Amino acid sequence: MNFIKKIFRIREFNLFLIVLIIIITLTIRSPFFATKANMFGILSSMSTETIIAGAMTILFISGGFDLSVGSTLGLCAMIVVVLIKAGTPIPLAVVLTILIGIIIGSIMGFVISYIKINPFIVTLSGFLIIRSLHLIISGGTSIGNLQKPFSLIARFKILNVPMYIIFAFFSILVFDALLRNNVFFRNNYNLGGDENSASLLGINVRKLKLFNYALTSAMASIAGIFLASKFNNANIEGSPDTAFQVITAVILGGASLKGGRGSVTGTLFGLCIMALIQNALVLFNLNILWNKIAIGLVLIIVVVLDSTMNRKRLNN
Amino acid sequence: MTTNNYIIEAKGLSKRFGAVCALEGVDFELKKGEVLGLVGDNGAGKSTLIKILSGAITPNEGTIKVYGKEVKMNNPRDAFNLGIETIYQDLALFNNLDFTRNIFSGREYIGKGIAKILKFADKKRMRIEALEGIKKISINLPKLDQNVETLSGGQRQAVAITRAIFWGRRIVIMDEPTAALGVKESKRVLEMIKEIKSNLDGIIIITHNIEHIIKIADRVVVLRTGNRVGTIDFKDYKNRTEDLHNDIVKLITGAELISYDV
Repeated sequence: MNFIKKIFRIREFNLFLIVLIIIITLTIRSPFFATKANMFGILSSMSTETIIAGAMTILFISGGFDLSVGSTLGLCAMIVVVLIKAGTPIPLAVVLTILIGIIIGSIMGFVISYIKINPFIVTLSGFLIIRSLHLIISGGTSIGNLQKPFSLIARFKILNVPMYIIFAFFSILVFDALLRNNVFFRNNYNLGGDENSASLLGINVRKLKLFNYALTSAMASIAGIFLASKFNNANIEGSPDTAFQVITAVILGGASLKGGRGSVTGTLFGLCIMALIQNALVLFNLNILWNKIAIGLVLIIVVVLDSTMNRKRLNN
Repeated sequence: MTTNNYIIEAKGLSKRFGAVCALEGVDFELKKGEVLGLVGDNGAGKSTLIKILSGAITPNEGTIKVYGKEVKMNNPRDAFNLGIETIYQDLALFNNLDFTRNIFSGREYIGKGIAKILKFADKKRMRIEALEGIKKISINLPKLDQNVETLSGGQRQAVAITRAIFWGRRIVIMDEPTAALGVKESKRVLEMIKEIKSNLDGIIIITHNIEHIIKIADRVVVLRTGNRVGTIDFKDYKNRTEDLHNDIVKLITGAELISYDV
């Protein structure tokens, strides 16, 4: 009985149950759900956010957040395409683009960590400024039609699964392992729990914060590269919703705005729940515009339940 | 080079906050191996003195020697590196982490082999040592895998103290360790302090509670309105607990005892 009580306290387990319930329900209610094509579609729709979500989870645990990832994604998709079209060899273009992502994140991280400006303001400015750079570099239109080799980055298949999906889930596994075990990554929990104590105990708090922002933007740039490769095109609209999607998944997964809590596993389940809800709407021919309402509701319900259970536990 | 056994020796400490003089010309010393009580009413200057000794604030005047060497402590990290750990009332524990992680924060053991290359933490070994450490000083064991925010006040003190000792701090300053605790828990914390005395070079305890300090201290320094008004060595009061209590109160309040014989 004690074991049952204990396991239901774990956020990840409860999320896993929700995912399981949704999967079972959809399998029963729709003949198209449990098909290879549909599964592939779900994984595909999750992939971009999944690439960024691991780093965003770490950022949240440390007490920060980043609203600019969508703009960085769009900008870097455009940059890599522009570079390749100008004749840059693909590997070099990719490396340069990721470097640009790191620089963007480092600048924001520096302003937040060393100059001590609120991350909301900094990353919001980042969101706007980076978006403008995207538009400027694009010259006003989407750019596409690149040579075949570039699309291989995303579409190269291992065991019939394309690279962009493999990379997404591989990166989640890596980040999960690092956060649970690696001494440096574990410090994020201390930083998010009590920054002053963390600093007193010798954790280089400022360096860690900057690193987290650099990492998040780097993953956003990688997501942009995969996106451009997947569609052989860098579009002009960019990806303004990405931050919203990723942050929702991270909070669903158990992270708190205050920091100190959360896990990559939880975030992954959060991503799954969001993707499954979207898939359900498509399968049952419901208005896709209900997607955001559904996700908003799920988010509120999960957070309220979690908060009530927390309060009960503390009162005992 | 000092020939006395003072591990902390402060002379002429003064601290002003604007027009308010929190401390004036206070001398202070901690002898090796002792538990020293720092008592006084509200506003006496106890907090200010302790903040100076822990590096949180700097005095306007005065010198401090730690282990015989004159030092300037500009921030808590300086005090920390000198071996002084201050355990404040709110304990500055990581509420979101369990007791093992609290004890090893910032200094986790790394595993062997592949774990060493990846810098993976040796969670098992840390857990075992944390448990041993806390068993040594307190029979009141915390729930192992729950976050410390769910622990009782006494258990949290135990975690904080274990962490201080693990980190090799030699001097521990405790700010009102029993203030928020009930009778049973207070008793446990006082016993715990007696247990750890041998693991440390010295302990300073700030408290309002004279009963408690009488139980565990060797000496008491009394402050009143920013001045040091007296020192009481418990050696001089063998078996005279009531006198000891009264004399301490006398110094704290500055009042003479009123005789009830009319």
